[in-house]
Amino acid sequence: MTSLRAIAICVAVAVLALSAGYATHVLLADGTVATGISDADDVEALWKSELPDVHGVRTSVAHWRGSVLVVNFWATWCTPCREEMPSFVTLQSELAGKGVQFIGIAADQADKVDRFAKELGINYPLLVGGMDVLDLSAKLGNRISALPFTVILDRQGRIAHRQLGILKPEKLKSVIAKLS
Amino acid sequence: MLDRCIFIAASFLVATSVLAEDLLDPSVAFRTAARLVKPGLIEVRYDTAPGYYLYRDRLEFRIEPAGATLGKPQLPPGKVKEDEFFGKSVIYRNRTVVRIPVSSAPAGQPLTLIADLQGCADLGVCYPPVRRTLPLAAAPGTQ
Repeated sequence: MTSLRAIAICVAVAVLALSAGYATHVLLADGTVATGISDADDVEALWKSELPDVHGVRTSVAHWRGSVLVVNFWATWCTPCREEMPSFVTLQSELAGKGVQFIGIAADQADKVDRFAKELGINYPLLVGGMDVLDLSAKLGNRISALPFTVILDRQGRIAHRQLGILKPEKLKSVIAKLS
Repeated sequence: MLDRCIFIAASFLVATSVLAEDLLDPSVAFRTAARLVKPGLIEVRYDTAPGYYLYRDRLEFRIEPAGATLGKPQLPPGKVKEDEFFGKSVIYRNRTVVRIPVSSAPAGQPLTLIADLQGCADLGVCYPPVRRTLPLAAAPGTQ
């Protein structure tokens, strides 16, 4: 009996351990880097932000409040950022009619951002903030100030999803589907 | 037997938890140290954590105080990384040592190396450029 109980406990602990491992594996295989993110949620800092575009024209992020907003923090020196942006261009076209708006916030120099935007045919607004935008991303949960970092906000202006690392189109669509 | 089972299961848990280890702070991912190995020669050592890498072209150096000057950094070959957007880049992993000739500072003032670097993690994130300020300890027999 004692031996049976021991085996039962052993199996239960092993299942728990493997489940934890499997969950972790799924996170990583999905391309989601769940770590490096804190639960910082100072979303008002974002709504109060006013940043210049590549021509120096300042725009308030609050201008887009009421849309499902995909805010992508990126930089031209960040390879994975450049890798994921073509899919944002496609999705912006695809989802514009559903009240979904992408914006890019670059921790970079305006001339570099402008060159890259033209090269890639970026079809959504790009704001430029230099390195200080990383502080803003930290307020939204980007604990280690790495890029790319993307936040999806619902129509009420609340954070619905945070992503450190590449945000795959399937994941993005599934989050947006729940908010539209 | 119970003890052994729990030990094995716990080992599974520990092993799988390692996968979820936090992305490192850049100060840990890209440890940097510098010293004067002999008068007129600086050695900069980068100890890059496994799964992280530095871009060779984004290593930059400056020396303080004004009056001291740096020679051309002797950068090791590194490995070529192909990228669809960036083309070919040379990257460094693990330990990398860069040697830089330096002229002595006026009036024997202590030297400080300013080293800029930028790197990424294989998990698919990049860190912003980082600046390290590294006071240089004098080589034995020097002031």
